[in-house]
Amino acid sequence: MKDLIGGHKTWLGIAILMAFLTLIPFFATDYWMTLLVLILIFTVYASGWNLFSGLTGYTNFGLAWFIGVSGYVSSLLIADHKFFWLFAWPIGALFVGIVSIGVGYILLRIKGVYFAISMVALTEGTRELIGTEYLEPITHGGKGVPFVAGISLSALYWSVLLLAFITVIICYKITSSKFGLRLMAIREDEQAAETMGIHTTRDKIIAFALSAFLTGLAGAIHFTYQNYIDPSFGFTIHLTLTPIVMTLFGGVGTVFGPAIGATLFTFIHEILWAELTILYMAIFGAILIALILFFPQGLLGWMKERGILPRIRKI
Amino acid sequence: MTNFIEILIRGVMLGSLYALVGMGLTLVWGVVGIVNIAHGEFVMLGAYLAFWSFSLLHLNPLLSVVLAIPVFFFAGTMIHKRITERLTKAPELSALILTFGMSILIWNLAQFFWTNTYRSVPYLTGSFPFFGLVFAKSKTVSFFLAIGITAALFAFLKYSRLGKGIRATSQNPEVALVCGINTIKMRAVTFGMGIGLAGAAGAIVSLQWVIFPQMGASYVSKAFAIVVLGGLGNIQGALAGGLIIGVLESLVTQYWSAKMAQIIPSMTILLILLLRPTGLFKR
Amino acid sequence: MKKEDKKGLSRRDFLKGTVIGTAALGMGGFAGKTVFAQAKAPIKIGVAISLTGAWAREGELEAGGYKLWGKVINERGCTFGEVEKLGCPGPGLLGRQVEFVVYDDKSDPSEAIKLIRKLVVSDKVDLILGPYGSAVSNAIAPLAEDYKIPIITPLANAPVIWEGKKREWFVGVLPAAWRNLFGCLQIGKEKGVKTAAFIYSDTAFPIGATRPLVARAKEMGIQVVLDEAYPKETADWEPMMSKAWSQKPDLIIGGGYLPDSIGLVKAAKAVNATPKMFGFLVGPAISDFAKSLKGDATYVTGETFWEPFVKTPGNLDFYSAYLKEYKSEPSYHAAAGFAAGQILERAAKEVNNIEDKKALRDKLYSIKTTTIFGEYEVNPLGHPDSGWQVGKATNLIQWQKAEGKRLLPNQVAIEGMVKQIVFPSGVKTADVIFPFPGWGK
Repeated sequence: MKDLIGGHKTWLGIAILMAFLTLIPFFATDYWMTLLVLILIFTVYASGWNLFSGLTGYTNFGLAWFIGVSGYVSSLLIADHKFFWLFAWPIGALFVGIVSIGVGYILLRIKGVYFAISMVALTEGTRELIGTEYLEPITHGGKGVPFVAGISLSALYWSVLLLAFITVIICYKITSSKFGLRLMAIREDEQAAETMGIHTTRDKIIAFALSAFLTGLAGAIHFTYQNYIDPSFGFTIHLTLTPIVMTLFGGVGTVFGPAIGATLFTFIHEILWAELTILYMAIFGAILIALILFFPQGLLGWMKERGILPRIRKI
Repeated sequence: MTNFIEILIRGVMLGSLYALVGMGLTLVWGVVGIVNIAHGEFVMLGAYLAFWSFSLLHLNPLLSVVLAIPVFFFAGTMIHKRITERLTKAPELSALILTFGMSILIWNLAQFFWTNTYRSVPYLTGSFPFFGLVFAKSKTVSFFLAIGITAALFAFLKYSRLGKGIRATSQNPEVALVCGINTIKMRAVTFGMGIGLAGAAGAIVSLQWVIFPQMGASYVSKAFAIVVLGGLGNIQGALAGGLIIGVLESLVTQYWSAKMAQIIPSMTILLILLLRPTGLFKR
Repeated sequence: MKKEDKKGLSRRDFLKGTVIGTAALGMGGFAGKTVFAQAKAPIKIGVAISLTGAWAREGELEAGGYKLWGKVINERGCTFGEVEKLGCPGPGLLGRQVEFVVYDDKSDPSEAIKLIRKLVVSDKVDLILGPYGSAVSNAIAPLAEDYKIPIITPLANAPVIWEGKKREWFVGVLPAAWRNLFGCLQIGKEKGVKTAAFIYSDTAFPIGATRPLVARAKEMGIQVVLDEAYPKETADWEPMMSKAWSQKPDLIIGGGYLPDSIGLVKAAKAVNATPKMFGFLVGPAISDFAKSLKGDATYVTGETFWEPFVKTPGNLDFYSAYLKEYKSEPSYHAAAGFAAGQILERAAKEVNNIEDKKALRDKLYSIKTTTIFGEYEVNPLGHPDSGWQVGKATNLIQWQKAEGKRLLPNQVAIEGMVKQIVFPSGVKTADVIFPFPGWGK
């Protein structure tokens, strides 16, 4: 598996990149830092999605559920119970991680497109549940939760940089581990994997919960950055779809694909489309259609096939 | 008690419309194998078709319903031939993402050309008394239109040559191909019919609800619930599912709360998938 | 199969289409931006506002108000009404042209935060005018404090933005939410109503406006037979309206935004609900309401923040300038946007420069003025709710039949109906028609 991402040179490059990124707050403007914060948050979302769906082949259309649940728990802790942000974030993420063990146990029996729909239903149902009269005393319902966590932009940036780094490392470790191979075996043929003695249910649930925890942590940071959460922002379908598109952009099932996809995607958006406000979504839609029709293996995959980028062995 | 009956019947009327939207979705899903997330956008386009022909050409909106079916059918078959036919052998995720892209492309273009102004068709507004009960004129007419379209659809699938071909394609595409059925054509026709139903539903919807570019989203979750409830590709099931969802929404709003009523579609999906995790389609 | 492929959309076709589309869009994007000829260094004003997404329509109208203000000031050196008295020294604000940098926040607070930072840091704008709505305003309010740049937000009034927050760089223009629709209760009480039903959208502004009204109704001895928030995603209001009407209340009050109001009126007619009065929050005051409902809008009352015919200083001039520029009626969103410009104009002229942000901020917190939108006065610095607009009163409008009525200047008939201010009595233009005479009457 050494040639998976290209050996020592790659690691040296990554070390230099990390050092550079760590020093960013000392010379970059707030705007660039904000942009990087968003890129890093979406890197974690995309990697988190890829970690489960890219490896197991179960299409998770409920990424927003991870993000929203953790975002709500941590935001409420900060806003109503005066928790320090650094403690509120992992509590939110652990909460969604633990709940998703139960959810995974129940929902991961559902296969194919039905699983995707059940996750959408879970997300929608939770969003509506948060607004009901029964949960309103705790969640403030449709009014939303505005709060200020009192965190500086640099601290926010370093936190999310660290999280993104850890996430990518975890993804790398998993894809090159036996556990990762077992997950890929599930993707290729779940029944065969089971016959070969792989404990598929357990492995799927572990990957699902890990994906929930990492994504949830990024979600908690996202809403702290945004100073506000309400049911429609917390559980919007865009929080599910944007990371999926980013992953498709970079290449599904690869280690760096999601991160590269998130970066490219955010930059292209920022540079090209800041001007094209009115039809932004239409262009986004056209790109999605084009991606699926012409580059089903991701943009990077396509470039590699054409020899524009060096070929790397596929998993 | 009169109140209860009134609310029950209103629920049935509401449900007939949901069923129309759901039937289009289930047909495409079951026969073509594509989960069309952009289905709601075609409902929106149907509503705009009725609105514009009413306000610019002074065309009766009920005529627009009849007009919408061929127009959307043709558009649907073209879209399928040019774009979605390629997806029939691709993984399911591809179709989900592509139709999602189609969905935002369509509503954003609608927003660009027609702006975000909220519109409605002031035709057949108001109510009429019926043995001491009160019903909306538009909903009653919609109900009969929806029932008529459904009956026509049933008859077509059951008795016409094309309809039989579609059913054969849906049951087993390989065998159908061997039997000399042009499955590509069947899929295109089915896709067109699904879109045609959505367009007709949209034209009917224009009588009752507010029309704006992003209105389609509100029908999608309900349509999904109906498909899952009724069984994939099952037209009768979608009809029943639509009626159940409509009646539940009406009753729960009245006797519990509007917010609880909103949860029904997603809870239905979860519950049914939990009881039948491998899906509901009986082959 | 081969034949099939040929017929399909090729990659080249697709790219060609996209490129042409993109080029056309580029032009569209630039056309949307206001760029004026530069003589001296222009004053750059940053705006991050919703041009797509849930609040696209409102954001577009508000941005239209900003741009009109910029245009007028670039031509004359002053705008209309009270600020005119400070003198019209020729083109520009303080002799400098006003230039806007406008971005779309996609109705997403997260996007807005990024864009405000971009405006301040990359575009180095001199001043910022606010976004649309309470959610986005609340998200960017801390940035005003961080960068020490004053922000005037014209269309946000949820209490959470200011209540106890001691904002020092963030002022509002809209009247507080809890003042809305009070006229309905007052009129109802005078006419002896006994019961009221409240149905409203489950989002920040409608909740903030309706809950205090429910409490007031109880204080006034009106029995509240239903108090229920419906989900934001509601598309068919018939079940909700049917539930409210099954209690046969005298007043049906609530709603939320424009689609809610249109949908609720359609639903009310569909279930033949005939209470003595309908009162809805945002919606009835917007001309789209009457255009889309036609005759069914008659006798519906609603909250208004501003009308083309209210007698605020300079309002007639604003109206005709807007009509000339955009060929359509201004809404209160546009008027509020224009007014935000006027407040800025007044503060800038009194301080006589825009570089001293602190002096400008102090001025914004201390002036009392009247714009075309109405009174402006915020809680002063040091007050726990500092920056919250407290000067402006709200009015109740009712759609009445136009025939046989003499219209005020700028009062336009739409579909044979006109908006009349029916509360409070000091500014009313017609008596309220009470009770509701029935559908089609």
